[in-house]
Amino acid sequence: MKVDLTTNIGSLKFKNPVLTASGTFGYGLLMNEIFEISELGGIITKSITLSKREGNPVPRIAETACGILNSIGLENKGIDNFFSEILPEIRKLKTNIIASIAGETEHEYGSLAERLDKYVNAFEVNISCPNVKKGGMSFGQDLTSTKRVVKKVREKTSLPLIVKLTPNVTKVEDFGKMSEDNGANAISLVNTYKGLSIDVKRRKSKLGGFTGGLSGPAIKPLALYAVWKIARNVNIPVIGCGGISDFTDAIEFFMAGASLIEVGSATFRDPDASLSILEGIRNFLETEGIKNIKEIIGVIDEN
Amino acid sequence: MNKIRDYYSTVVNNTLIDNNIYLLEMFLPGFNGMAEPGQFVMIKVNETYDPFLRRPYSILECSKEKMKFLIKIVGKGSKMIAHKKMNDKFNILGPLGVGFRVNSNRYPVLVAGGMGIAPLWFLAKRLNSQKKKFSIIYGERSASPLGDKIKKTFKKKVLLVTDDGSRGLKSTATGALSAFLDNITYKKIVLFSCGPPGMLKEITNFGIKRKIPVSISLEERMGCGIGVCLGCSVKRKNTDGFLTVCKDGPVFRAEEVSI
Repeated sequence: MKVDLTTNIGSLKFKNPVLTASGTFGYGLLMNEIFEISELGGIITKSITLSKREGNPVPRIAETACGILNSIGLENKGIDNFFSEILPEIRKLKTNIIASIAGETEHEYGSLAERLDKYVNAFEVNISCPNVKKGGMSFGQDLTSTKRVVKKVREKTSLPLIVKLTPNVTKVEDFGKMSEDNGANAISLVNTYKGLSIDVKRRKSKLGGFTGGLSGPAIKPLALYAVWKIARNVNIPVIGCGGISDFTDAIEFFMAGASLIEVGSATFRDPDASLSILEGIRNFLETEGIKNIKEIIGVIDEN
Repeated sequence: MNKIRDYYSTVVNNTLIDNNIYLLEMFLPGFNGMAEPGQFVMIKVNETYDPFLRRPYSILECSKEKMKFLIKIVGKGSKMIAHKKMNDKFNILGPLGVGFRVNSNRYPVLVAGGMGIAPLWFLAKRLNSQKKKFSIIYGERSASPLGDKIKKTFKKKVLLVTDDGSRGLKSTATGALSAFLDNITYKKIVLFSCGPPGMLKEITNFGIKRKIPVSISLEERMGCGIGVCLGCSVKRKNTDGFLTVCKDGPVFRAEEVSI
């Protein structure tokens, strides 16, 4: 039996619903030396900014129980470098390339979208990075800012627009709705949960950037709940993300209402985790006699 | 470049060789034996998610389908690896990163502090197999069985020093370096070093002052080990931007990085 894994965001077709989360996969080029990444539904690039960013001081990683606290700080070489060094290479990859963009103002988001338009397959608007002083999560924690950023990007591109939300808010569904109302074609969540870890001997944070964002299996139930909550409140596809480490995790996100998923930290543990998860999803559906993945999306009910 | 692979490996032997330090010998089916001294691997501690991340270890020695590592217990992950028993199995991703590049017309002096011996042990073995002459200065807090093992393996090539004077010169490895270089006949020297951050700073400055090329192997907390998470960045020297310890290193020329 051949299982239908295809799905769409706006006009963009995905051969399967497995994507790689921004910041966990580089631009796909290094990973392509390890496995055939064209097997995946798509890759989401490390967030691109207008100017290059050095990122936060080390240590940038502190491990916690079943999770990782990171404070990278959007280190990247900026959009000019992306055009000259990375784009020519990633355009050869036979999978959807989704550019994650991050600005310090709504106009920066707009400029990034304008310049990258036509060179990538879709955008993921990062308004949820917890590790930068300007921009990032501050846009995703304020409904008016969320509206302004999404609107601005929408004006500048006709490509499918995904908005990546932070779970560090009281009612995440309001941010999903606000994004949808202002032209988003999909919502992805969750970015990391803001956290802290302390070295008790040095009486200091374990991270150079003081606080960090928590990812990994530790946050999966929280992320799953956020996805479920959003999926009931918007009419556009939801991309589930947060601690997905094996295919069962992925199936849970589909059942909670996600149409696609992003594999993040699991890639650090197993570089080809996204591929194993894809194979696992396919096998699960075959074994269960499910012909089309859409049959399980959002099947759970509250009672 | 050798392709990075994830080897499902078996413990062949695991011996306590010093206080909290184990010599772990692994069987890696399919591994062709090719790696450069200074390269490392990422060891998957277990199949549960705690700890979630792999742990980076320098390759101590390798040959076809075999690798050896020095494992010192410093935390939860290393303790779990150190306590692996014969026939236990776990994944080893590698070989990773950029190792030491040996310039053939200079006399290599390997300067190691504590557990920093691991990548330099591999380099010394490689130099031995190429019948090249070299010296090792090994500094440790206090006379230890690991020091004995280094001396027994590389014999006259080794100068042992201790912080407390319990064996050899009472000095740090870098402290002993200047006098050591004055007393050998070789004038064109290259330094290879690995050890605590303070030691690497000293040896970098020493190299600049004496106009001697220095290669250092850095250690940093890593997420992925393959250059995608940017968790282990190190600042470039004299220019802006970062390099990753895992992909651009862990071995750098001292003038490349700001530590």
